[in-house]
Amino acid sequence: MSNQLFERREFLRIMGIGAAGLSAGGGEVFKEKDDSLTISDDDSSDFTVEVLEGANYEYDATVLKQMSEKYNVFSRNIWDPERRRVMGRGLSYEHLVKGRGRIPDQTRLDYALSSGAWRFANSRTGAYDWGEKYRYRYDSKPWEPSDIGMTWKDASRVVKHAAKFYGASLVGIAKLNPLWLYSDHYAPRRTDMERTIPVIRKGERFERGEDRWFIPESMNRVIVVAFEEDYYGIANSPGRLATAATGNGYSRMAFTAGSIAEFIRFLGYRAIPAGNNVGLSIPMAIDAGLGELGRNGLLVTPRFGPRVRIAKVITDMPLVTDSPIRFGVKEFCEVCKLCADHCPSGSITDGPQTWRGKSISNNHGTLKWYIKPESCYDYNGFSCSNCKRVCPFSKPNNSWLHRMIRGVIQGKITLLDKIMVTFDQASGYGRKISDSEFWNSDGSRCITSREPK
Amino acid sequence: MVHILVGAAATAGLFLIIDFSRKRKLKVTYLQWLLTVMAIAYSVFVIEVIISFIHEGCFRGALIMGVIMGFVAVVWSVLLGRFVFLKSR
Repeated sequence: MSNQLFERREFLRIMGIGAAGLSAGGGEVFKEKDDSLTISDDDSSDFTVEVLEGANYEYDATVLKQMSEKYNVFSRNIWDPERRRVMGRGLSYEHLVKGRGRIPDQTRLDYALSSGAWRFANSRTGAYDWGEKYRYRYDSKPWEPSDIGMTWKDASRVVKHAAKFYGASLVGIAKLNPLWLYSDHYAPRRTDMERTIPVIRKGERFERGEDRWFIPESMNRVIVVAFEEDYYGIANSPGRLATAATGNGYSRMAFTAGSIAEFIRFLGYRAIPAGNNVGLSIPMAIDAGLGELGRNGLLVTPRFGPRVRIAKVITDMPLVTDSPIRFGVKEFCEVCKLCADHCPSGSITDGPQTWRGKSISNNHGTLKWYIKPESCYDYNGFSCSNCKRVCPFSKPNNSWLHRMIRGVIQGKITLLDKIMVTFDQASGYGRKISDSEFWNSDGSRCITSREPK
Repeated sequence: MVHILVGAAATAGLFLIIDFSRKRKLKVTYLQWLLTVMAIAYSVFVIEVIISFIHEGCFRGALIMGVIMGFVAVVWSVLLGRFVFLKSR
């Protein structure tokens, strides 16, 4: 008897010591680096993200140049005769009357949710004002973190905290790459539908005028914020509820970017909040360490996949910048191709990356997968989000299971990536949910209702 | 709460196996004990995977992954039982 008691005690002692050793060792291995201001554990999925020293993309400096806002497909729908011919009768006519892209089972509830979601999305709310007329609010001296015993590293953390307080799902800071600013702003008039005004970046003039914009060279930081789109809304794509999820993202973009800009101005610095305009959001987000570029042409984030909308605030506040990240998206996209298979308009390529796209709305000169913006828009009119719905990186939560799978993907082993895609599809992820399935929920799974993890 | 129950059940299962082997005076090598602990850990992992799928409403995933991974756990347990704990003397 006493021998048995001794053996059991020794066994338990060995197990306890082993478990303690494993925890200590695991904590050492998996702890986050504290010398970087990149996305937190909460955003990144812990050890699965690799922080890079430099850019996470290749570009040809002889080809890549600033893009004119006139050539993005939204602008082209107004001035380009070819696009005007297609859009002549409007997307509503095309989709609802002619039946191209007809979406069955759409109810008035779905349209109402979408209408409400888009309410604050546009610039007429004043959210995207530059505030160039009131740089200093209550103090003539710009705030210095040393005033309250902080460093600029602390100040960067504070700004990110404010961004999340105002509703951002993810936030990163990058040095502003001038290549990502639009070279000019599309400003049509009845008499000149192709009219653009230049965006000048020389000296310290700061003005948004009627015939030209001036952005000072000292405004060399960009705070990039991303907003999660509701998983179950996107899962209804190409239905109207996906439009609602998109519109909700746009409205939150306006509110949060405008609030961050006001926060920065109160501290005595300049701020330009922007949604889709002023510059290209996706490369800025990549520079800010929010994610990588996927096959579908979207930003793919560790936590939310491509299910995000992006806004930014350009500022002269000398914040400490984040580093780009890598977590296996490029290698995974090379074998997955689910977005290409499920794109209803065939706008996403299933081929390799190239240096040029086929459309004048593509920004050539970067090695990436180029989409066809025209055909995407023609179907996107109701905010089709099929590519987001089916993407294996898009998951309803950030549970340990999905973080573990991302760890496998981060290993960049092609065979395992293929197995993960197969399991993802076999498990039923990416399927379209009906609007009745969406409305039968009480909202507890919505992005602002559910538990943090 | 369910996670605590799963952990408690696994720990209880381990102690039951230990007690069983003592009563039967079985000679179990360290390697066999290691395989037993790994089998219990894997079973806990499979149960947690199923729970995770159910928690996010993905019942099809719970079924498919539960069957695939659970099959491995069952086979592993049966082999341990057959060749270690229940082998005829």
